[in-house]
Amino acid sequence: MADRRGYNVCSRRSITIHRDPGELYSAWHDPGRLICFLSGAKGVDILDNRRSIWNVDVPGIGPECWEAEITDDKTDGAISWQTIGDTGFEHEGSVRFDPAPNDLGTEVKMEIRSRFPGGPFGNAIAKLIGRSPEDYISKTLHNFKQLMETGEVATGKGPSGREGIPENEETAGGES
Amino acid sequence: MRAACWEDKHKVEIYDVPDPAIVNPHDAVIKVTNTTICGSDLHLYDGVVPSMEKGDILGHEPVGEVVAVGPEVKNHRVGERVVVSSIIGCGRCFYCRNEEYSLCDNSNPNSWMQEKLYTYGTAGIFGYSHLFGGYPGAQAEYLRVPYADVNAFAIPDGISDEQAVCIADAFPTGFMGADLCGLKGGETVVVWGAGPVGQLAMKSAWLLGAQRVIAVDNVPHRLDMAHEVNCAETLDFTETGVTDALREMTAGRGPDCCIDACGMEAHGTNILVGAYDALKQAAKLETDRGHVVRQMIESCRKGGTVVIMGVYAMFMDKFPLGAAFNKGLTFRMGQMHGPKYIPRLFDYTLHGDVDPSFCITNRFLLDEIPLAYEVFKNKSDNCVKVLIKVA
Repeated sequence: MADRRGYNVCSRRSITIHRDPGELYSAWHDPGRLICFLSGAKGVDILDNRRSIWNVDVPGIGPECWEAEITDDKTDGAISWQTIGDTGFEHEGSVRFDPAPNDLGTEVKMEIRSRFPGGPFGNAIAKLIGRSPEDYISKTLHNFKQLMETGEVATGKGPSGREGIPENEETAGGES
Repeated sequence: MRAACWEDKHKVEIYDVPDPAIVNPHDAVIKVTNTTICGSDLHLYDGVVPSMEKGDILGHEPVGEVVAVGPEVKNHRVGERVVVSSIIGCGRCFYCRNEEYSLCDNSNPNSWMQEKLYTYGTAGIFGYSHLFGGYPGAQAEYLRVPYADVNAFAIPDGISDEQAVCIADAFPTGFMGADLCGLKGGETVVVWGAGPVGQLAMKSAWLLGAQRVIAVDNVPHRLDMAHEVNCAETLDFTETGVTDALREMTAGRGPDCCIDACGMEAHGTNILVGAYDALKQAAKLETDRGHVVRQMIESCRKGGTVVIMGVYAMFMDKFPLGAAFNKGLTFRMGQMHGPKYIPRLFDYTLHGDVDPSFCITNRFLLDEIPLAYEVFKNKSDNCVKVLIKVA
């Protein structure tokens, strides 16, 4: 069912990262690092301390450009945002950073409410082929963990014998 | 460069492909001098591992020379002779810090795909399908090595390339099989499968304190190697009922530990069960033939340990859970944790406790690899393990 903003799909995933909440929070405010770990991100322009312009290849939707506005920002704790105006991926999202038990680092929880083609049914189909908002969140969180724990985002990029594809940029649905 | 590329089921071709390059700061690139075909490559060759793509470069047992290092590589330098673990660890995550490298959280860029099958993603592996990261493999003239400080090891003087190439994957896999048995000394260990991993598991069981080692297979030259090189008692499963034979060989107690060094394409003698598994595997209703696992559960003594090192991918049927539960069996399994074991295996090799190259029986050049796959798959020409000489 759609909510008052017309969002028909709510997707969330979480991951534990062996870093302090403050360090992770700071990375989400660093455009240079955001562009590295946000799945499908092609470009980000920071307009001021609340507004930014995004170019992202969104799974299940395609290349989209939107303006986002930070709606809540708790230092070292959480960031919430929403899109402004017309975009093919109208959504609101949040990411939280909570200390994990047993010195395991930080529990990072990301949520996106969006207007997804076909609503819950379309989302269920998209999940089967790895093109749902939940897959987008999962890829983003894995990339973020890789970057923050190892200093790089893992990639299987390299040669293959595929005719006409000198670099292995497209893998079996994967983002290598 | 020249590279062995997976084209389709039972079709591997040598192609000219671009050279790999440093992509990430912790990468190295090595010029491969020696590599092998692993038993688990045969699962890819036979088309039973999902997410292979035409053109994927195979292979995960490299020895070579470092030709380039990324800016964050601290432990290696150009010109160094190295062996590289088949399993890729990041060295930083919870699992790598616990030396469980094959469970690495970070090295598999496609772990989000694996989560759909296994709930949690596991480590990347060279040349081992896109579910395991889509990394180009080692049956090629050059290889990009991610997290080189974690996964590449300088080969000590005194260890040959042929010995080192067995330490990339086969020896640590066999050794981990024996290690997971938790031997305290005096146990009877049975190894199903007398291929390279099985042979090295037998050798490792002796090293870790086994009192008896028994090999189960049906290939005469492999059973001969188990007996002559590894001092194992042997059982040909086509000639004798394995479970009954093991019970009698242990005077009614059953073996303490059972190691599966076969994996999901194991052959058995029960025609009905074998046909059932083969049919379901062909129809993709069951990917993993469970003959060996079922036989290990039947054969193992009460309270014993069942270790699975042979590779399984998805599902198997008719798992005898009742026998496993009521006999109180312990199950241990998994892809091997290469970087944990490689330094220790260097030591065993340097000290002369083991020469792991004993299992290499056939040698080919990289351009001959299509033939090498057929020889290895069919176990023809008395083949146990093939070495691919690249440079």
